[in-house]
Amino acid sequence: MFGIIVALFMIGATYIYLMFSGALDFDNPDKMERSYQINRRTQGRKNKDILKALTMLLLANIVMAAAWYAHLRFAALPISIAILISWALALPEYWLHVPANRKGHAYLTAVQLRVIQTIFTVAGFIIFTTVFFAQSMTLKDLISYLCLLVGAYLVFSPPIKLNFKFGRGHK
Amino acid sequence: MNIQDLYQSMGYFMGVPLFLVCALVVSNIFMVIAWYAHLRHKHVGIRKIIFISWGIALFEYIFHVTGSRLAYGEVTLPQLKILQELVSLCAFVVFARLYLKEKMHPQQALGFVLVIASVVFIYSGA
Repeated sequence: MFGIIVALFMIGATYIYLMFSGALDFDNPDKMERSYQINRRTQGRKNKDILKALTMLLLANIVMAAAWYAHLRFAALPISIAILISWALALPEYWLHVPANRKGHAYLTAVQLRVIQTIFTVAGFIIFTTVFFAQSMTLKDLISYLCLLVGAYLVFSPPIKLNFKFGRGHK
Repeated sequence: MNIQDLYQSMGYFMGVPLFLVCALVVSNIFMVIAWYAHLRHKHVGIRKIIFISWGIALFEYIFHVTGSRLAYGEVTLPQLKILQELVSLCAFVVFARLYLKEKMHPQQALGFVLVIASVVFIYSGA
């Protein structure tokens, strides 16, 4: 149960990150001036596409976790059969994954997509193993996942420039 | 030689079965090709890409399933997952450098230190 909460928190954090980065924008269009409304309408379509892409990515990652790890519960199954069943599960995964990346790539950068993919793969894995293996998440797991996600972010993102301004600003 | 014997004979590094590492490395090479090679072929129809990617993924699954099946029991699920993420990160960075011609930068080294730290931590007895 703790695992599900952590996974939902990770997914929520992704949406909030996208809202801060300006990709998602849910301002009320009725309040805007008429000249802005056309922009609002395109933003509305953009929101819809991004949300659709994110949902597809999340589902794809849950299916992927199933394809990768579900066979472990059936230890008696021969390896060749396990491979074929897992591969068959991978088809719906690709069916969701490839279009989601294409749709998302219209509005998000490759870096953003890759970071979202990494967060969702961990979240999908946690959701799947909590449900299917009745695994409970330990604090050790949580620390490792967070460390992994921060590391993955640093690997994917372009160099972060920190410009702190202390004291007198220069004009 | 039996595959189980091969698994045993390859031994361990810091608690990580080396057979699992090798299986994941090979599987992730196929995975990164299946996922991202189509980015340079935008004109190809999406249905065709899905099926080609899925075809490549068969080889990914052969190695991934074999590796995780032999290691499971000694290695827990979160341990499997975190090692998988480290390997997939490495595969992606190499692929981005070679195929997509992206530049590398020192911040990535810091990122890798954190990811490796998470692997060491989850495989440790702490």
